Amino acid sequence: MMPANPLLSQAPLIHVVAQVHFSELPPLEESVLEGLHRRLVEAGFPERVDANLDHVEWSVQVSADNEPQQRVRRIQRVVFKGAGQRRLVEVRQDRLLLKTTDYSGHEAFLAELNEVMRIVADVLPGFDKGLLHRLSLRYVDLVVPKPGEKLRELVSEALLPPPLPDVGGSPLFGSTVKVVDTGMGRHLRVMFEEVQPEEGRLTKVLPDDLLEHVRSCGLSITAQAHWANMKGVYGLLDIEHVHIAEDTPAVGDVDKSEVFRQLHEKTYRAFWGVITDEARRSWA
Amino acid sequence: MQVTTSGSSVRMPVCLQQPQSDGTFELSTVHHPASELSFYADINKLGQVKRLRSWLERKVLSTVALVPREVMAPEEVEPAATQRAADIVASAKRVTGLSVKDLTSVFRVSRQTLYNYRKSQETISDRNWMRLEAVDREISKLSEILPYSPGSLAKHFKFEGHTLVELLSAPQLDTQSIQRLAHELAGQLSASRQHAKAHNQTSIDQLTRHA
Repeated sequence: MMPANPLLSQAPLIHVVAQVHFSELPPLEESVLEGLHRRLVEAGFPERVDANLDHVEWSVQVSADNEPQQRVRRIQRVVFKGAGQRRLVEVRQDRLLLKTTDYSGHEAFLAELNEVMRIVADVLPGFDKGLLHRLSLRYVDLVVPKPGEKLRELVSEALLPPPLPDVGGSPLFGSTVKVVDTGMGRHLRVMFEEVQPEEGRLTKVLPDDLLEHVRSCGLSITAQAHWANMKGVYGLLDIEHVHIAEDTPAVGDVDKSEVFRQLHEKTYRAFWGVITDEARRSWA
Repeated sequence: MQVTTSGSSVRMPVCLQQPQSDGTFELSTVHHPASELSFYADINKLGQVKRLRSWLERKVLSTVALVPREVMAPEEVEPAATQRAADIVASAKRVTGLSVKDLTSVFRVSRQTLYNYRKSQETISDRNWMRLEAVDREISKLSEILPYSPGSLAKHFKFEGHTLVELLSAPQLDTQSIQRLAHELAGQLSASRQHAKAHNQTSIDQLTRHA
């Protein structure tokens, strides 16, 4: 049973991503995407956006003289957005993602995720028969000190990068990461980034691999009032719990809902374990 | 209107920020890329690729590795980046009322290049990106000051010896001078509008007097 913690009215949580990663399906046909779109309209994701992702692919052959070869692989993705630019479903040949910037609690999020997975299983041919590679649940918190607060007062000192007082100079950026084996083929990663504002404004607010660069695929994040005028360093707390399906079972044979519930439990504990009492009071 | 940070080079990825009408603002998951020359590019993805390259070059085994190509250099993300360039040019045209020909001096590129920006067809150098972003920051502020686009006044109205298009075409943009001129220009535009309103009303009165 999870420990009881108070609800935070000013929670720093800005982005949650659930991901189902499976063996690559055949290219998604337009008729299938249209069927998916119709079903997702009913589920509250009416806007379809077709976009791509670019991945750099390196290959090298074993020989004395060959240089690594680079080429860019363009990966198709289809995004279905909900009202208010706060949630979306992203479908690729090997991945299904649910992203939200308006998280109202795990039960509601899990219910929505289950609905999306059910729709995708119904519509995408071969989805349930595909092989599961991993399930992951990821939470990103933006820890911005209020006037009079300091970042080091809000998070565990163990999360902070070294201050380097003997070096002097102005800090540009810092990050720490820890990965923990949580058993059953799972690992939990906690990453913390110490970010400097520029000219009193926030710069990056997400980890690099969650940055969106296509506007039509972006989501809006409601800002707290004190984020408008930044005086000092702020932090990104990135907690991801990953279940790796080492025996690659069929997607349809896994109780994904239960796995996500278990993934959530440890991320919840991790979050409450790295914030301070000062933070709990400040965000209450 | 979007808020972007100022500065001659973008050191970190920067999230889009949208002011709201009630005085609040929203962030976005969409970010402007960091400059390829920034410290962030060095320590982050560029470093990862270099380490990957170094590992591959040991020729330990034949392999294919996929590296997410995060946005570190604007020209790498062609669809989003060139759309942004097109948006910036469109915004400059809308706010100032200047023609494409006049905007070439503002963006310091050829007319053909500017047309390519508008059609999202150009691969854009880092230097040109810096100019695009710098102009966009000025245009953003101008849109808050000018009641409507000045059109030809941008080329003919002088304040402190300069026109708006001259100031916007300078190699280094002088925000203070641009804004002082913009405030004067805004006064001119508002006065013109008032005069036009009064004139139109008079004409209407005259036309309807004997109705």
